[in-house]
Amino acid sequence: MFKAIDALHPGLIEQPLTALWEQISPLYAIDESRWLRELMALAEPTGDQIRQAESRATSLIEQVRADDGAIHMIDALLLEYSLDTREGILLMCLAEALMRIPDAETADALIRDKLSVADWKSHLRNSDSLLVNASTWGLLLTGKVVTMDEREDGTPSGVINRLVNRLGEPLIRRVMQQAMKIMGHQFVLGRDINEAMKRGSEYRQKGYTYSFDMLGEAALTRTDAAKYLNDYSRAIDFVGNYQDKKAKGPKPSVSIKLSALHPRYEPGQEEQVMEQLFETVLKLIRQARALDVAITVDAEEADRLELSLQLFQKLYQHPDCKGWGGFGLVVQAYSKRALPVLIWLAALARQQGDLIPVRLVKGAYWDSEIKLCQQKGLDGYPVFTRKESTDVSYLACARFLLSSHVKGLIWPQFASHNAHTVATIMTEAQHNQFEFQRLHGMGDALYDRVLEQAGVAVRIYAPVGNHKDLLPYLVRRLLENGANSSFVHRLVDARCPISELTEHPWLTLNKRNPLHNPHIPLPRDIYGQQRQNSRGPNIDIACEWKPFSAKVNEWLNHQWLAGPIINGERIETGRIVEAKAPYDHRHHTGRVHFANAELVAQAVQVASDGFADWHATPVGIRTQALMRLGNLLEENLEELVALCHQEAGKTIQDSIDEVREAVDFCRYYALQANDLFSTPTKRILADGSSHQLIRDGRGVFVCISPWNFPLAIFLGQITAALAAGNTVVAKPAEQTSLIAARAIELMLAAGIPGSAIQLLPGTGADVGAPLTADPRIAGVAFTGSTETARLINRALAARDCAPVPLIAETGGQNAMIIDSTSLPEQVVKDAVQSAFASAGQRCSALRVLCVQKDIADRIIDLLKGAMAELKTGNPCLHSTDVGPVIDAGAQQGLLNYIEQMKSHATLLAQSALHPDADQGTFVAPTAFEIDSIERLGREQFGPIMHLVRYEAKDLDKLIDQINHCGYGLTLGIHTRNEGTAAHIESRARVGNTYINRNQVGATVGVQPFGGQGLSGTGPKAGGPHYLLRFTRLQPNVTRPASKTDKVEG
Amino acid sequence: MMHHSDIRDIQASAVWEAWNRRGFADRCRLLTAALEHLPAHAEAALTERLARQLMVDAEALEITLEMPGPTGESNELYLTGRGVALILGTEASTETLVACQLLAALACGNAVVLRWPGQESWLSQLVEALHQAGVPRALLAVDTDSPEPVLFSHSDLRMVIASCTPEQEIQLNRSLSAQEGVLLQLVAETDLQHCPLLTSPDFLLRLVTEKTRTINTTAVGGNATLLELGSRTV
Repeated sequence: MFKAIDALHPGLIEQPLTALWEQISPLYAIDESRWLRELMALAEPTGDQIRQAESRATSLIEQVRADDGAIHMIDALLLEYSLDTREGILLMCLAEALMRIPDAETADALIRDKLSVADWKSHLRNSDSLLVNASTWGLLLTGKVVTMDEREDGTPSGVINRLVNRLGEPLIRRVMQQAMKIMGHQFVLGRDINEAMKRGSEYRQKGYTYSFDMLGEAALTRTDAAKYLNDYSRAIDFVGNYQDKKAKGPKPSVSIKLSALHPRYEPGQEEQVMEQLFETVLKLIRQARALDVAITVDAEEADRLELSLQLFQKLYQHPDCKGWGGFGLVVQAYSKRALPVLIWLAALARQQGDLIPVRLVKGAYWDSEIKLCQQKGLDGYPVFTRKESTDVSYLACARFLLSSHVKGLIWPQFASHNAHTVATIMTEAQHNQFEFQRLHGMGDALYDRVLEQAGVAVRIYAPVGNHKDLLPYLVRRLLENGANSSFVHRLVDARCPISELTEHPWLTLNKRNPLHNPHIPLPRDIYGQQRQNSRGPNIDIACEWKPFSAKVNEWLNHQWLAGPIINGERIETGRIVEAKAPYDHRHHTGRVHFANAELVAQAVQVASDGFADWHATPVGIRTQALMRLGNLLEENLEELVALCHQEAGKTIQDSIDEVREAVDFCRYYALQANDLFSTPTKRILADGSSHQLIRDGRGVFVCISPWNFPLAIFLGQITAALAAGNTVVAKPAEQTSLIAARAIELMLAAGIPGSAIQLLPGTGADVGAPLTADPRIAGVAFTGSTETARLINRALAARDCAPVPLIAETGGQNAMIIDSTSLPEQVVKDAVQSAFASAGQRCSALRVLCVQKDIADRIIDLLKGAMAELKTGNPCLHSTDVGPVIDAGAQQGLLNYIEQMKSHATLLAQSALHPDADQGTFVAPTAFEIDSIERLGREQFGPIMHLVRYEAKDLDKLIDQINHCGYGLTLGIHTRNEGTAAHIESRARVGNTYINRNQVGATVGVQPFGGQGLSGTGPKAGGPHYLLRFTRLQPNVTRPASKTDKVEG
Repeated sequence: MMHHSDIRDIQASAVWEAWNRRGFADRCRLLTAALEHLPAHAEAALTERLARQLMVDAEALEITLEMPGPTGESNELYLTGRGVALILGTEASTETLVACQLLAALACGNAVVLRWPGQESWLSQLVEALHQAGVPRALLAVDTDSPEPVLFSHSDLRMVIASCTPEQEIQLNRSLSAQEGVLLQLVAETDLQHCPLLTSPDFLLRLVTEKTRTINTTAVGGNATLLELGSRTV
């Protein structure tokens, strides 16, 4: 790691570009406190600098507050409806969704949902702003009517109120739409570039200039990307040719968002990005250069940073860009990599000799960055976790950008609404070769003063586009990153002491111990001290991807050998089955010796004999072994990922998630077992008496697992049974015996005795049937088809002994319901992920997408476009989205179904297969439209999605139909109406409901997983009740109760 | 008198959904109030004692567990009724057992069909007492004449709660496993003297199903918690 302070040495940027590039990635998730100490050394102010900045900031704030016209537009809205109030959030939620709802019924329902619970009256007339009062008036009127409506239930409300309600809804809707239009008008400079230029004219006369952005959602389809390209091109053309003789400041520029210009702007699609997106942006550069309109590339999520820089370099170094100096980009200071990125950019500019405009912002995706890292189990965060840390990073970057050796290489554009940050930049700057930037509608008064006093340009970043598309986007950014609004809010709030706004962030941070925020646990620590989150590498980040990938590749040609493992010994039966990679049958993965009925009897006997010892082993010893197993799985991640590729055809992220889930099972059940079994349970009865109970294992459990989660479910069942004190005979799916065998080897290495776990790879007839018929079996955990579960149930029942637990998790006919308040782009992204990830071979996978009729055409268009972008292929490649299905039998069944559906359903879309697809067992992701859910038969376990339209008024009928399918595993809901979501969720007879996200990827201990009806028996795997079913409760006769015993009332 | 078709009526009806939504505590209050009005039978005091314990246990199931997880998302686990339960009495059953099983099934949010050959009159009194206490009529009924295979074959049936001998339990389990459709849960008390199952803390968990509810809270402005954490000053 380089020293941040070295950024001030001119020699640093004279180093080879490649050397400086190598400094960037390793800082992705570096220890925050360690890196902050580096940055603090660079950003440390002198006493004079602190005093000057404070004095200047105080003066600026006083002037802003003294200005009667300071608080208007969005500032006013944020002051009145701060995002830390319920009303503020509700208003923004309404603004985010209302304008896109085509049907009155759903719009009215959303208004009712959002407005019936808040105190709008208190906001009336608190502000002089037209925007605020118009909003409040609409909200108040609506809220009042809605409240009256609510009071109809149970109180003698008058006829008048009901009349107001009845007559009022269309009126209310109009009022609200009007309020949203006013908001849209304030957030968006113009509906097109022409209007934006005209509206901006007044500010340009004051000396401001603009950077226009045709903002909006990331493009999901080629069509949307082409539309955005056209918008950018027209904007460049218009700006380049627009003559505003009264304008004073520099020429306006255009900002572009790369994710709007290509539907697959992501690290996994580097090839497409570096060719197709490159050509697209180059076209814009040529056009912009010819018209002398500078272009700035906006910053997006942290995972895209390295790819964006590679693309930037390729474009910047292109002959058509060389010699220009108008092609720039945005750097986010909340990123730990911000400083090395700036150093690399300075070196790049120095090498080529062209100025690079760089907008330094604080960052816009903070919440989602934190969430993503926690979900992925990464080592750390790519962003700082305290606001003052980001501020210090910003000032460290600014100090570098303002240093004399960077002058002429980078044109700094400091974007901030924080008066102290602005004052510090003005204090630090020894030259005026930079500019400030602010957002349209925010910070007017502050920057009016800056313009007067600083002698530098101020550029307004202004969204351009129709309100319906843009307002939701902008509001979502505000909602998702409300921190940015906090300073704006406090700046104009006279109740907030100025001294609170002018403390130097370096001093603030210097008082923190630790420097990182201890209230935001690291991703591995989100479950508390007792259980560690499983670890995963981030495959979109070079410093994590490269070593991981290299190690996985070492295993790809390995030949694994598996066979029955009885009493710790692998047996070679001679009944050998060759394992082939599902994605390419020419590739042999290894050999499996299948077990026979004789070995089944032997295995059950060993397990039966081993029960007494294992059962008598203290629970702490049992669970320590499981914890060790979890650690061993993590240590062997790369081999297991390779095995998942080669034997199960899983993609890279799926394979990582597979291992992580197995690790989570080990740790979760170990923890649960410690809680449940360490001490007897004291049961206090209602009559005051009490007795003690102890939980015991039941005996020999059979665990029969599927091929779709060959490690996670395989180990989930086994570790639960073992943790509870049972011994286990495991029968893995025939297709994934190698993975199972490797897992058992690790289990033995972790210290689980050979007598406690037996492995029997083989067929259902040879192994499964005799196992489940054996009277010594005390329980079965099964995951697989409903039909097989029924056969197992019958086999168990046929024995002449008392029934034993059968814990079955079976299939689903899973639906996702979306209404017209939902965000179409998010819906389609989540639907595609839910239906086609893992080639649809997940129990939880989406099978039928239920779309409210009013938005169905838009959804179908997006779905077609998104499916056209799906890449099937070799699952070992980062670029592959959809791997093979497991084997030829599965493939043929799915292909037959597709052919059959073509004759009585509408084929909406089918993704293309890659050229080598016939070497493996691939099925192209396919979507059909059907006229009713009742057309669905049995579950199709592959990448096939059905779509059905429904009328808003028939929502309950739809829920009835879903319930009548009999399955009940997962359900997705997309709606911005929380009342609707709650209604659907409460009525749906399913095990797992996911609201406003995808419906796959349940996490152990977070989303306990399992269904009802035809989908399973319960209890849920990865939940607090699962282990109980593996045990029996008996009176404790060994010792009297003590104070440490658990108590159940 | 009730026929097999009534099972479907129960399951499909809004009555069961409404009952299931009432929550454990509310249902237990209603059922506890009904205990004083149960029809006379031997060991009525024992019935009341066991039933009160079951109601206390059932009320504790009301809780919604907030599961830990990533920021910007809420994850909750809660329990609901499974659907239609068939309570099956045999010659070995006692009024105490049948009444307690019924009360437990209802407290857990299920609809119930009762069948106890030879005891229809007492069952009717029991059902009537519960109806009088406020248990919806469509939620609870006595079946007298449907053949067992027909009862078992109904697609809306979710579990059979029985009190019987070990031998009968084995036979019953075979019959249930022979059905198509849902894997029917058999919850059978075979130690009729000590009732270890009925008195076990795990008993009620067999009568419910779990639901997990995951909400992406950031979609509706729910990032306040994280913002607050990010702004803390220590």
